[in-house]
Amino acid sequence: MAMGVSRKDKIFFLSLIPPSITLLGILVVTVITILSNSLESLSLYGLSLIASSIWDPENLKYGLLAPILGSITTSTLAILTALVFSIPLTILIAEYSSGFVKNVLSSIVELMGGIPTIVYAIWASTYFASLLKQYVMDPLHAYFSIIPLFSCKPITGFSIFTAGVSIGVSIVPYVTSMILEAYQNIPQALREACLGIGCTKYESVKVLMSLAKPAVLASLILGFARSLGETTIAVATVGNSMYLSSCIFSPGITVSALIASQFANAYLYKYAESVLYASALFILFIAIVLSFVGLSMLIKWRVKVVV
Amino acid sequence: MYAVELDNVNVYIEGKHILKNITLRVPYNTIYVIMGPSGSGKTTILRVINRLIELNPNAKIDGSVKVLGYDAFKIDPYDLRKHIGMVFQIPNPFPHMTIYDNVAIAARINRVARKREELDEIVRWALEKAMLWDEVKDRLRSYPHVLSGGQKQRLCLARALAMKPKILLLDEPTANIDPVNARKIEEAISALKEEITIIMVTHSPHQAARVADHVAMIYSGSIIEQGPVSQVFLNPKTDFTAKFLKGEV
Repeated sequence: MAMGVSRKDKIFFLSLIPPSITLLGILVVTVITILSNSLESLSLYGLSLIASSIWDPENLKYGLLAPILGSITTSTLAILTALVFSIPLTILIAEYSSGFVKNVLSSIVELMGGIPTIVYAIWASTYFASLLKQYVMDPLHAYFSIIPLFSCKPITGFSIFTAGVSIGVSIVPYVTSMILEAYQNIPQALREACLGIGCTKYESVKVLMSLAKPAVLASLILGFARSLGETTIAVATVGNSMYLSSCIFSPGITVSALIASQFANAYLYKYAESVLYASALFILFIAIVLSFVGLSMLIKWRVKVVV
Repeated sequence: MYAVELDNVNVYIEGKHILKNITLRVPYNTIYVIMGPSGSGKTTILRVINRLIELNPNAKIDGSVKVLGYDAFKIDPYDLRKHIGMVFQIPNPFPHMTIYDNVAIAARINRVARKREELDEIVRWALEKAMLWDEVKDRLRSYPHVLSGGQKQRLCLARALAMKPKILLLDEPTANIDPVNARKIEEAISALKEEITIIMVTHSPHQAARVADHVAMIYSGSIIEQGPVSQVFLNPKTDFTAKFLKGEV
């Protein structure tokens, strides 16, 4: 056989193809299914599907504005939360620990990433929601109720705010591992450049972090995309109310939570299934675009700084 | 009084004896050149002086290192480094900062200048001293990737100068750049010794001859010869030095 490829090699190569193609096929079929199922509602309701917040299946009125804004708000809160934890964690692991301690810390972060989200969901709905209400939401409302975001009195802990922060906690490992990788990939020559001009540790970290800023931003964009899809925690903490509010302390809904809680009963109402598919399409579209943007930013940064 | 004094300094990395009983004295406001073949430990000497050697957790150091009269290993390493600028073998400007900021940051961090006008002044001074000002004065807001390798290295020299160091360490600063740029750096260095004590590492005897006041010949981790440049070049005491100066090793 030409080029020294043996018969066995060829069979081995051929055996790799079916699983790869199947996986791609599944992706394509998923997108097509979602697309074709949402067409009915999209053509029927058009733009009002995402511009309206009225949710009245019995009268065939569907508006996805509340869940879409809910998803965007919770994901924004989530990446802000993740940022608060990820940056200090990254600096602690990369700059202030070594050997055994470093291994333990990175393992804990990795381990947290492997915890099923249902565990976070249970913890968040049982303990975290009431803690947040008592120590964060109530004080914020008491002192800053002039700001629309904090204007409503938190009734239970279940709210857009709690969902965002809880999802944020769950994506900390994901975001941290990306920022940490970028940070540790900064060439030694640039770390030494900092020390070579007399930087203290804090000043070095400041310079290196500003160098890693595009990678941090990319990690947050990817974290945002992941938060959009986070379902279990959202269902358990967001309060599942289709009522649209400008206040993040009121219960709300996200697209993922809407689908998870409504899909089983959707057959009872006309168009409901198609509307849910349309909402999934919306999330899928944003997630794909953001993932693409985030990943290409990371790659561009690596090419510029690391190589 | 010397700017830098090393007495019986030994460095072991992972059990390997890298520097052996290094003793050297660098007088103030001179150019002290450490020359020797690759892998002889030249760079390690520089990294002992500003304690960058400690970034390697496997490095063990003994002996005495005095910098500006202070015991280098008894004072805070960050304080120590505020007096010692370093230019590395491979140019390493900060890629995310403009040419101006690359120089200004060193002045800002070391509180050399705070106000805008002071900063402008020191950036210009440093770039002039590094003989780069004329080439970049119209594009201070550009990023260093627009510069050639030699210009980048002069930018790094300017950055080190902007911290107004008392001592400047140069680790083969011209090893990776073209001869024209190398000459410019040599000229810049020669003009600087009025203000700064300079310790330079090189594997080129010609370069040593052009810029040095004092030279030390290092081979396999030991200093085998040192003295004023004329004495070492005209009257080498060891065969190895003689061969090295002729370019035979």
